[in-house]
Amino acid sequence: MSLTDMLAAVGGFTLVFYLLKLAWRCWCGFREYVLSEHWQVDLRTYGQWADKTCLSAFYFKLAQRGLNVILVSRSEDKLRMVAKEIENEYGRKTRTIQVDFTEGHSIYPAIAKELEGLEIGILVNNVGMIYTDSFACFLETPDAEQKITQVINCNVLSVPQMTRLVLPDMIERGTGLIINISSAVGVRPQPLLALYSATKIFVKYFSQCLHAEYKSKGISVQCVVPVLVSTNMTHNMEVNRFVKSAPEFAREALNTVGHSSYTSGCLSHALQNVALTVLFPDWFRMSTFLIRNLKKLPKMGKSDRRVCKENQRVSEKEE
Amino acid sequence: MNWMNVEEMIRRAETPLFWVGAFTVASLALWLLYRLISGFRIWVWGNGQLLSPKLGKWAVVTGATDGIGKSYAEELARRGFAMMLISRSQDKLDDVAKSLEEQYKVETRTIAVDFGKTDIYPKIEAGLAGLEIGVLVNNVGVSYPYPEYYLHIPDLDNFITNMINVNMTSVCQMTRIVLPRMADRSKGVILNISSASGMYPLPLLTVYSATKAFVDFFSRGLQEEYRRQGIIIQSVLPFFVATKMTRIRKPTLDKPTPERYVAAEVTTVGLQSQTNGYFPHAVMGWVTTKLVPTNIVIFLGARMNRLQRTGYLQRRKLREQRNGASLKSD
Repeated sequence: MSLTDMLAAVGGFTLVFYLLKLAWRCWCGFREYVLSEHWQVDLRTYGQWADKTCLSAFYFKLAQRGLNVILVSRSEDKLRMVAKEIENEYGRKTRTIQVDFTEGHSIYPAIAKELEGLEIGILVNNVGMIYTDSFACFLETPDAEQKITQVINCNVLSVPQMTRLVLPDMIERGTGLIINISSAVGVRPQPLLALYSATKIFVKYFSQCLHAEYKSKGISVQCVVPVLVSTNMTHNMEVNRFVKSAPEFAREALNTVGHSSYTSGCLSHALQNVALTVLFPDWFRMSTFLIRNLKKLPKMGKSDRRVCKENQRVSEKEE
Repeated sequence: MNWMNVEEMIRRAETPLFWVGAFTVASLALWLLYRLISGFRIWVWGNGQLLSPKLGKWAVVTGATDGIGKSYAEELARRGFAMMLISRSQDKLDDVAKSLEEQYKVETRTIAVDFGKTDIYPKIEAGLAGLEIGVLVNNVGVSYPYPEYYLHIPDLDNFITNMINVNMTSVCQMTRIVLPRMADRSKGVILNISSASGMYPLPLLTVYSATKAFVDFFSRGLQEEYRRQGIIIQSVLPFFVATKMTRIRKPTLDKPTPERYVAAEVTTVGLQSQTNGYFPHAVMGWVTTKLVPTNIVIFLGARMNRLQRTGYLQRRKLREQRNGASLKSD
């Protein structure tokens, strides 16, 4: 075979390889985001109660899919309001737990007590906070010592601790679902949001490890990697083609359950994540040029950015 | 007829495929050349002289009484830094400080704190007040005694919080304390000791792997924020090193002594913002991240950990039986 033929063969193989890879990715995406609308997994097979930390939208969607809901949040008023709405609109039972996740280790015995005796099928770990209004250097964070501990308590500590509380019972029943909300910012290290992106990679690794450990016991652990969703944390930004509204996101994200253990949550965000990976490779994402320009972006909101999305919804079934 | 058409198609495709193949081969060759040159620059030439007291009089090392931390303390003392050692046991700190003073004739100070708590930082800040700090090594860390399934970890509640505080919070808070001063002088080096377990999720070392990924991401994000201000922040990801924490007693080529590891690692400072530190580890790192797909690495890592777990539990059972038998005979 001549050199020309060999190189042509190499070219052929390379092309076929990448085409197959692309086709596989497209099929997975199609199944995850499009077919899942119709092939919905019955979430009630996991259990009767859903425990969810944060993002009211998730509560409503879970209640809509037939689960009773345990709401966990910092604000007593908000809890009562959402609980009432769920009971009225979907006729599901609710329980409320009022805690502040930034307090850390000391809150978990109280939560454990409240969850006692409930058959929890789904846990959604969504509580999270961001500590700055805009892209800013690490040292420019005001009151940094407090903020560091709070962010780690809220974004990181809550996930393994809540998992520890609900997982034993799930294993005993042989079924359970844990959804951990990470972020697109946590896929690669992000200068100017270094601490936040680091907390999100913790969630991703924790989810993937736990999934590998307990998959054989019937437990599903899913990591969701959204881009931008309009919530309190993002200052209720305007919903458009790129920014999803919370209810819409919750609906689509719940559809992906059972189809993928690592997902962007919805088709729009999946495409955005792909675009971000292609358009912002590491060398560009971490370049001085981009950092300088990100810093120039206007602040997102005036008031304190801390929005702890606390809501744990626990689904349980009552006997 | 169909056959002729297919042949015709292949013949026409041959030229563009040739170019695709030529392009692929050419890029591979260029990439290989680049790797050889940069490999030489990093692992043979090295950047050994960067870490010197020109950066600042003092070097701070956390977890300085054992393993890699102790070796860093010795290496930095050898280079002439005054040493601030922070660890849990005052006795061990005094021992290490004394030996550094005698061997390298440098000034030493110590602070004894438990990094598992979060209220220790005012004390550390007071101890570091007024010091010109050139180097900070965030080395303190705890690991699993042996790979174990998440729910089977004894005292899981405290285990989680302790590991997160020691492995993660300490890095952020120490950086918060030291970095502003380095930024003022526009020079300084911060070494954050992560782990190869932070390069991909490792089941049965779940929390450890996640905390080390945190340290890696935090370091790399922060490095780009402060690079222009003359600060070097490096994420160090060793594989196995023969220390008390890893319980490896016999060092080999791929499981070096901490002294050997640190001697190699310090030459990469300034050349790589994320490093495995030691050439055999760099090769292992490259193979497991670039050559092998992540899912396979996770699968093999889980299997290795499961085997280690079984081995450890069996040996422990045997030990207990032997102890039980010897007690009976007594």
